Amino acid sequence: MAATPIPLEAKGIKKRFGDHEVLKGISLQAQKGDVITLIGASGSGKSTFLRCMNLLEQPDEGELIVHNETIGFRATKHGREPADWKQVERIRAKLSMVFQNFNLWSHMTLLENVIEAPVHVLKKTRKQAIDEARALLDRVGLLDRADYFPTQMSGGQQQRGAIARALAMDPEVMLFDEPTSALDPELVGDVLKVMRDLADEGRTMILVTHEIAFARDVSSQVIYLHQGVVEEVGEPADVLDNPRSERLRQFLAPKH
Amino acid sequence: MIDLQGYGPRLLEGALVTVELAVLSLILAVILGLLTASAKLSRNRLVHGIGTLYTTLVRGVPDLVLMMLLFYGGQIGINMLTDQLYYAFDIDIFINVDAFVAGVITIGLIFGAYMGETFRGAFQSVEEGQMEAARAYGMSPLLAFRRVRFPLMMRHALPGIGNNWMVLLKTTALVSIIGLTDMVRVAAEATKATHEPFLFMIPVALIYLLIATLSEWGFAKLTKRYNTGFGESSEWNN
Repeated sequence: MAATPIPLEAKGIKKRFGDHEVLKGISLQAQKGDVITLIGASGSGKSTFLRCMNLLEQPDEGELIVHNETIGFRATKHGREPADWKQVERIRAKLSMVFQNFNLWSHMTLLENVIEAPVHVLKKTRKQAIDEARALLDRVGLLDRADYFPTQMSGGQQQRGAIARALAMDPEVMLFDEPTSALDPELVGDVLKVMRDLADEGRTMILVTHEIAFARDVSSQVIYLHQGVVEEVGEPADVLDNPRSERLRQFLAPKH
Repeated sequence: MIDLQGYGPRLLEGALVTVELAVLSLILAVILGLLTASAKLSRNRLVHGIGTLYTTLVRGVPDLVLMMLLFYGGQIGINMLTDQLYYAFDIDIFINVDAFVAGVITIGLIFGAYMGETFRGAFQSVEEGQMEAARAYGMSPLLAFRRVRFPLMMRHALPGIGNNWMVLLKTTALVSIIGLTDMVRVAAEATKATHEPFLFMIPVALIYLLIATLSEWGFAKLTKRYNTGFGESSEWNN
């Protein structure tokens, strides 16, 4: 029997901006149902690493394999670029991203946001996409906001809407880029609750966050990045409760 | 009833020419404007250079001079080209530069440069996160442009487009000089024949005004459409 394909694998990812090497060879393997949390101080490269996975940033070196499909690169005079952008588009559609600033399309209602990519990228019928979208909006508690525009919703609602948009792609892996960092503290809980549900139902998730308590609860693996290198990696109980390095201990220590 | 001394039907025909000329020029100008804006925002230095050269040239030379250059110079250029074809390949064709086509091309070229500046500013005002989300969800560059960048950009571009359109509409009057029978030319001929300038020029002015008023109404509709999702934050809800 063939092994089930690994949803996402990154090997030796390196990225530099000008003279500054942001990622110095980072690897990660997300098995089905894994929740992998990337933590680290700002500037540690965790968001850049996440953005390399759906090629919003082009890794200078390293390999990306999504569901058994290796992404091809070619060298150009501006550096390495994907060899086939159609392949990148296909792979991006399998890796839904949830952004720090939500990035819901502001000229569309919430419902239109959720059906946009299923209709235009996945080529689903409008009818089917709407039915699915309504079910997802119900799930994140926003069915009554379906016809609202993003500017008419609170940050927490926008982020839950953005999660519904991500789910509508039925993604192989969900990428969360500091999903609660732009929210008022009292709105964080609702978003984390939705994310916990997703983790519980076995969604494969890769998450950049500062919510250490949440990471401890839901993660199958925690990766601590420092200056573009993996400093510690393991189960949350090991990494978060028994940090080996002094740096991670300090990072985890209460700030006040 | 005003007696237009038999010039009424010709004046109406002329008005139709004016409208056709203006609308076709606008379409060309919008296409050129989008291309120019993309060129000027391109990282490719050659493409960027071409965009800059185009806007600098067009905006620095009077409309009338450009029009004459294109109409007379264009005919000579095409003749030279067809002559070459004849001598070299024995292909015998004759292309006549039509005043209408020359008018559309010239006005389209001129206003393409102004539209380019309008669109460039509008493109830049689209928040990068909006396009990033489009890319992240697997949209091709064309799809992302059509579904996200264009509708968001139009909100910022419409006031400028409206402005350019009004100026473009009035610029069409210049084509009477290269022999196109728009309503200004009809009115000028009628005035010469009858020595009654007010009888013909005032209706012409009123027709321009009518077109302008209708356009304002149309642009108000468009502005409302492209503003959906913005400015309603007063209904902010939790």
